[in-house]
Amino acid sequence: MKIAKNLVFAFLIGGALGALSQVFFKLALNLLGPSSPFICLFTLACMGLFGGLMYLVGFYQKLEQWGQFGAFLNFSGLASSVAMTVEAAKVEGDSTVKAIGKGLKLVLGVAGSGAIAAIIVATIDRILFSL
Amino acid sequence: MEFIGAFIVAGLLCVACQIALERKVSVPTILIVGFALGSLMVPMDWAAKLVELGGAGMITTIIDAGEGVFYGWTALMDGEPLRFITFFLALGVVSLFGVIGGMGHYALKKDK
Repeated sequence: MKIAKNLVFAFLIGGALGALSQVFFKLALNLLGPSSPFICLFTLACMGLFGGLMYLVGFYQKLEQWGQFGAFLNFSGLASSVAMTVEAAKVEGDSTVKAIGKGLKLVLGVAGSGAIAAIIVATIDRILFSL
Repeated sequence: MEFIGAFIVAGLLCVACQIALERKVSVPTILIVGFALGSLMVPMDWAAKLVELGGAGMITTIIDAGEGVFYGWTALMDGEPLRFITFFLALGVVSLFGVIGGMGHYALKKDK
């Protein structure tokens, strides 16, 4: 029963964040024009800003508690994870620089490993395509 | 209609990851595998179909970041670095907002 509840909340919160992303995407299209190469950058930055701000006011932590992966999977969840890591490091007594370093290490750990895998796949695809 | 598509695609991707979490897979592992799967979906044309259905609901997930790196790297190999740089710039901006959020929340709690 608890698992079913978790899945429903993940769907609802993940879906709501997806719909919010679409709002920012439409905003980017209107502000930058449909041919701009910065539409995705703008949309991702808006979601990051949303995640950071919601963490600052203590709301994103509640979203993560209710929705778990519904809140983790979006880029706003990445901003919140960085915020949580930085805050935890500060609470442990780390210096600001060390706390920021721990936050960035988290991003590099996830995005770095994922990016290496994506680069390998893209390179293999290119080699196979050129054969 | 596009908002409903974004809601459903993003929601279903979250449910898929939540199922993995319920099976005791750790959060970083799910995110890294999701990132890698996103790039694997490009040659099979699934990523483009999901973006078509879900729009930004798909684009702003960690899974689609794999697609971003795939296309960025491909463009870089063709001598166009902008897409690759833009992706990592976005990652930097999101991290910066995270740092600000974390430091801000810590400062607010400390003041109380």
